[in-house]
Amino acid sequence: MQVELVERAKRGDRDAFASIAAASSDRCYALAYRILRDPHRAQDAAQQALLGAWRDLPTLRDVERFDAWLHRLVVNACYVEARSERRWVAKVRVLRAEPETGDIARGVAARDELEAAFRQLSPEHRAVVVLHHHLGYQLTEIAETLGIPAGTARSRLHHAVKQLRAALDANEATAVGERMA
Amino acid sequence: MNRTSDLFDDRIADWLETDPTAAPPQVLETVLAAMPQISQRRSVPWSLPRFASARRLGLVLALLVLGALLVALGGLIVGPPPAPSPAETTFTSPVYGYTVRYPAGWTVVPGKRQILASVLPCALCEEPDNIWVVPNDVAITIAGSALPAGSTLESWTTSVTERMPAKYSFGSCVTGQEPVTVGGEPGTLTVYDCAVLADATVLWITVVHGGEGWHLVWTDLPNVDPAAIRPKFDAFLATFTFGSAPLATASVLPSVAPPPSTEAPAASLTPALPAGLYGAWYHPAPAFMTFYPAGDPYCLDVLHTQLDCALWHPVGQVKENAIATVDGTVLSMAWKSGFCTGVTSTYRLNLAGDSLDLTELPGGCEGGSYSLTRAGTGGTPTGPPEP
Repeated sequence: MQVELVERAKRGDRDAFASIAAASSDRCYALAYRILRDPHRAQDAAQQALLGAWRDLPTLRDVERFDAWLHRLVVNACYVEARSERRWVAKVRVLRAEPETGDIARGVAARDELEAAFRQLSPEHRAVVVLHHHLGYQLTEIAETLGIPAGTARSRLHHAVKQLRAALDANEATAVGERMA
Repeated sequence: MNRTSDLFDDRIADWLETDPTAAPPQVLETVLAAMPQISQRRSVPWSLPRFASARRLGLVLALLVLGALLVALGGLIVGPPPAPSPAETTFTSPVYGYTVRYPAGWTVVPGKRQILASVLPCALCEEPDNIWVVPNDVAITIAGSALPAGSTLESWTTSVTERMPAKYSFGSCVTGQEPVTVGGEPGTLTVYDCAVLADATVLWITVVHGGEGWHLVWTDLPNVDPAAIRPKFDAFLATFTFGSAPLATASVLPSVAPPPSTEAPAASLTPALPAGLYGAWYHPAPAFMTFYPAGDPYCLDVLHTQLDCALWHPVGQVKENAIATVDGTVLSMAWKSGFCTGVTSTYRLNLAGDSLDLTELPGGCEGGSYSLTRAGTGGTPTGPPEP
């Protein structure tokens, strides 16, 4: 069904593309939000990606790969959005949740640390984390979607996860210290 | 407690799972409202809507005339170039000396200086001539330089194709290779179709002429069939003639896995930045900004530029590279990797001894201004910690 719609949209059928956009907007926004961590920027990125898809659709050679192609457009739109930020704005320091005792509070604090660590990642590293851990893409699929070698995808994922793990470990060490105090 | 990788992966996945999944209705509304005003790209590159209809028609007719000429002569022309048609413009390269004709509607951006043999040209670089078939999208890039003695077409082609993966960080994505003739010289056409090049279709011709290594590169839109490009490229190449003056002395060609380079900067590459700017500067982020002089192996090997370059290295984060030029007190940084890739930032340069202030001017990446101290002075570290 989607292949037929993509073929029609590729030939300039606006109704067909409207159907595709309606079916894809949530997915585009969800992907963009997870990379950018900002609802307004995610909205802009999703819109740019969908409009870019309409504009460039005739150049898509393999309509079967529309989904992966659209994901790449979303990720590229996120890169553009991220670059328009002031360089240090993204490096938000997230304050620890209060109170600092109890499992729930520690869980919230851990989430905050994860959020803070994720915001420290470059857009390129964020993208591989989201594609792998949210969409469930394997390395080869990430590489194909982002247009990077599999080795680069692997190293980006490794680096990103290592950084996120370090943040959580630091949080955990703090919690253990608090228990012993 | 020991976390397994799976548990940690689950934790990241769970965290991402709690983010919103539904787009605000404005996303779809905006797309549907804007779509009618946006023309779709055509898969044929010269018919993009950037050309006025009359010019587009003229270009198409010119190409049809050229195509008919090719058919009449039995394919790719070898020998004297055909007579110019009224719709063509003749271009003689001020830097490289060759002459070529191109159809009406194409535009030429001449190179500013001769490229080094060790540098691969690109459509946005300043060294090669760029002939834009479609502004900002489709370009023919031409450059040449003298080769080390004993170079052959085979060694030149191998040198280029083996350096491409390092330049663009991809594995081999050569989809075809065949002999061609350019300006009466034998050459090799290599076809690239690389996802990492945004699926751009690249036809890269290497030619050796009188001890000089030449590049003639057609870079086209994503996913365009190379066979669709060939008639236009061939027609263009048929008008190409080499100049009579030899090109300047070459730099040494790098090997694929180069040892630390001992290449000295070419004599023409006078460092453009103030001498006091070169070296590492410390930022309390912590981060380091390092300026390298033209010809430094870092600029040649990492940025593939023969200009000055700079490395911005926030400790523990992704390094960012830029080509650096200066005009009076304004420093320009053309970012080639990192957060601001593709953007040129300009800064008001204030260098006073071991203190450097870079005040960003509007219109760039808006990455912010920098107050830097020469690394290793005033108690600052000399460089980033070892990883």
